[in-house]
This record gives sequence, C-alpha cells and structure tokens, in this order.
Amino acid sequence: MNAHSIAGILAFNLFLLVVGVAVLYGLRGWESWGELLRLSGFAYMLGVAGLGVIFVIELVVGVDLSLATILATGACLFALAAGVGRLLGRRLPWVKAVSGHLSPTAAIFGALAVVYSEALFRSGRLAGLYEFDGWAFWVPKAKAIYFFGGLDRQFFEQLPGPSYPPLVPALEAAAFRFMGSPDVVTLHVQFWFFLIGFLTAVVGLLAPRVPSLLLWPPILLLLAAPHVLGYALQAQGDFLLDELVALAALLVALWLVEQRPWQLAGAAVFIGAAMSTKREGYMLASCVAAAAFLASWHHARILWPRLLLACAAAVALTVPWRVFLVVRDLSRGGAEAGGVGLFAHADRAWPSFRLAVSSVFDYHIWLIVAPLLLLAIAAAASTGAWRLSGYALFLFVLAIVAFTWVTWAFPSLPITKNAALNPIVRLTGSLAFAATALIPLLLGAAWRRGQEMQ
Amino acid sequence: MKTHVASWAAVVVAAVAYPLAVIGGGGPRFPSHAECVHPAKTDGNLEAVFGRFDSTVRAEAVLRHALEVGFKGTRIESDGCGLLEVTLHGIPTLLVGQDFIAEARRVGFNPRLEQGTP
Repeated sequence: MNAHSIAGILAFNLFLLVVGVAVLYGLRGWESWGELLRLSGFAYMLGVAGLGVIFVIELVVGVDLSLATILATGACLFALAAGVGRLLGRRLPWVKAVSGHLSPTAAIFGALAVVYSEALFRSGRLAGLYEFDGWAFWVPKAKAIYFFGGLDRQFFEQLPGPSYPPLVPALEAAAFRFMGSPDVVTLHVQFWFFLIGFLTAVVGLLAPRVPSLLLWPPILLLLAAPHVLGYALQAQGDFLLDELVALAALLVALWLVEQRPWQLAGAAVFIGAAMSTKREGYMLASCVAAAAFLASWHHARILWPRLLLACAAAVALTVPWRVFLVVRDLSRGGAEAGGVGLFAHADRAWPSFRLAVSSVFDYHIWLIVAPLLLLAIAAAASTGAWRLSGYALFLFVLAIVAFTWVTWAFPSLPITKNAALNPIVRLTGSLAFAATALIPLLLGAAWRRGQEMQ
Repeated sequence: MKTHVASWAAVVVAAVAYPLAVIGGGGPRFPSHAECVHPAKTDGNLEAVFGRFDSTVRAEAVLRHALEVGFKGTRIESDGCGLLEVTLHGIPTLLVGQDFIAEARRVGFNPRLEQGTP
C-alpha cells in the first residue's frame, strides 16, 4: 500500500461516481442537490454496473482496456446518459443550496456506520491476497487484462472458472490502471468502495420511504454479520454479485409498489451487471424476475410486458459474453448433473435442501438476517401489503430452491458449509444482502399501514 | 435547525474521532529483526536459513549455490518481514540441525538454525 495507490483508487471511484451521476440523470434526474447527495451511492453503483458491463463488451470485441480506453468509455457513457436525460426533458435544479435533513436517530446510526466503514477501510488497506479464488483466478485475470490489454486466449482458457464473465477482473484492471501498478494489497480497498456504495445506495433509496429506526438496524445487522466482517473485502466476485443482486431486488420491490420506470430500468442495469459478474448471477436474476412475475400476477396485463422488457434488456447486456464463450469453444458453465441428471442424484436433494436452509439461518454466518426477513414479511402481510410481502416471500423461497439446486446439480460438491469445498455460504450472501434491503421496506410498509389503520 | 446541525455534527465528530483515536495509539509499526528471526530452542519444526535478502537476484544466487553443493529442498520464501529468505525446512531436532550447520560451514555457508513459523 502506498499513498499513490490510494490516491489512484480514490480517483477511479470518483470517476465511477461521476459516470454514475450521469446515468442517474438519464434514468430519473433529481429535483434538488440534496436529493442527488442522498442518491449518490445509488449513482455510484449505477456507474459500477454500467461501466462494468461495457468493459466486458469491450473486452469481448477485443478492445485494449488501457487508461485512455477506460476514460473514453466513461466519457461516452456520460455523454450518452446526459443526452438521454436532456431528451427526456430533465433539468438541473436552479437552487444552489444543498439541504440535507438528518434526524437525530439517523445521525446516531449514521455515525455508527461511518466508524464501522473507517475500521473496515483500515483492515482492507493492508489486506494480503490470501483468499484462494482471489489469487487463483480473479486477480490473475485482472492482471492479465492489465498487462496484455485483453482476454489472452491461452491464459483465460487455462485458469479456473473460464466461463465466469470478466466484469470484476475488468473493474480490477481499471483500478490497477488508475493506481499505476497491479497493487493487489490496495485492491482490497476497491471492494470497500463497492460495499460502501451498496450501503449508501440502500440508505439513499429508502431514507424518504422508511423511518430511520426501521431503516438502519437491519443494515447494521448485516454489517455485523460474521461473514461480512470476515470476507467482505476479498478480491473476488461474490460480494459485488450480492450487492448488485440486492440492489436489483430492492428496485424491483420499489417498482412493484410505485411503478416508476426508472426503478425497473435501474434494476435491469444491475441484473445485467450481476449476470456479467458470476455464473450464479443468471440463477439469482431468474429468482428476482420470477418473484416479480408471481407477485404481480393480478396485474399481469399491465406489469408483465414491462417486466419482460426489463428482463430482455438485462439479458441483452450479457449476449456478447455468451457469444464469446461459443466462439472460443469455452465451457458454458452449466450444471454438472445436466437437466435430467438431477433425477440420477435424487438422494442429494434433501441433504442439499437442508444445507441451503441451515446456511441461510446459520447465526454464525448471517446472525438473524433470515428470521428477521420472515418476520418483516409476516408484519407487512398482516397489514395488507400483499404485493410487497408476496414478492419478498417468493424471492426467499425461490432463492432457497436455487441454493438447493446448486449443491444438488453439482455432485462433486460435498454437503458441507466449508467454503473451500462448497460455495453455499458465499451463495447465500445474495439473499442476506437482498433481505437487508427489503426488511426496512417491508417494516416501513407495515408501520405506515398500521398508522393508517389507527 | 439546531437539531439538524447537531445531527450532522454528531456524524462528523464520530468520523473524525475514530481516526484520531487510532493515530493516538501510534502509527503502524514494522516488525523488528528480533521479531522476525526465531532462533531454534526446541526440537521440531526447524529450518536452516542460509540468509535474508532484499533482492530476488541475490537470493537466487545463494539458492543456486546451495543446490549445486547438494542441499536439496532448499528454497526461497518470504520471511513475513519484507525480506526473502533462502531456507531448508524439515530439520527434526537441534542435534541434526547442529550437524547440518557444521556440514554447511565446511562448504562455505554460514546458515542459522531457526524455529519454523507455523
């Protein structure tokens, strides 16, 4: 670690934020500068997702990911998003003052979150690259992009996980460019930025909709979860996948309630990025989409075409990578057992299910995030927030089914929570993160409806 | 308005207090030589360290020479303190270690017997 690397990574993340602000402008705009400040985390994550997806497409078509390319890509996306915003008639607010209202409750929780993030930064800035998948293929891929410019054929074919899309290695390589060297120690700080971006995005999106007392505790609960404390800054794709999926799940939930187009458009961007991050992204995206379809069953004629359009847009973002796998004759990353192979391994079904459920509810991994989600669903349902509670419940059930399928469909995976042998614990992170984003919304809906009933 | 300012002030104070408290406790300290070298005192998990170097070239030169004279299994490792050590693991007892040191001295090396780190 050195000051040069830290300054470089800070500049890279400012760059992501600036591009993301333009994407936010194209998607929804803002009515005041205070609102932009509140949504800056959301904007940052839009920048991460948007630029990440474009970097993947550029690598696929053979563009050298040099510093000039990265800056030009950001400038193009900025101009495109700003142009779309102008076309849609968005205007910047006239008032120059920034009014950021902060209640005493929010201030207390916010102060705790700030101190936590500072402590996490302190642990991340000198973290070594010890995690197996990190040094085995995530970071080597990033180094290959940094040194060779693109997806070196032989190198990428021979590393583990050749079917994994290169969104994370591309972002890591871009971070290396800004740092001026492949500094794998300071690289951990990049994952700190992702986590903080996710947290501020959730807080920014929910702050006007949920009282502080219901918003912050679930977020702090996630931050205190042993798995987050221990592994959140690992230079791998798992946590970024969780963050992208959770933001998509939250935006879909908001869309089901409020039906603002930007919410669905934002969800499509995050889902597209999630599918470009890891193979599991397809499975988790399917869970979010299926839950949304099921929860909007009664208004299918109005809502389903829009949902289908968003799904098609998200899938379209991943087509280049899928074509690339076919052209280079690489593994597509399908299940070991194949389609009907599941029946040949029927004896694994029940143990796989038990493993999935016990991982999600394991206090030593996720504390009480899952039970709290179920309580929040029950609270929202009891006050009549059917669509929101139904969506969250469908998402929970589908995620459990998906986690079960992973262990069941890969017979080489032993039935264990040992992260070196079975990815189940890392997988459940997507549900824990999504739960953290949904719990405040569910509790807020229950609280609001309770107030109305009184 | 006063509450609003106080709320922001509380966040700023917390944000500043933590780094100040950390700095107050002293900056990061690099391990001293004594903390990096663990002289052999008991049997088990011993290694013969041929030297510590700050450059790969120098470490590789010593390694090459050690292998040439027959110390098979000698390798270069990070010592955890920013230096590269040329070392031979697998020495079971202090007695065997002392014999090894004597043998190495006869061919021009001056290795040190150390307790291996777990």
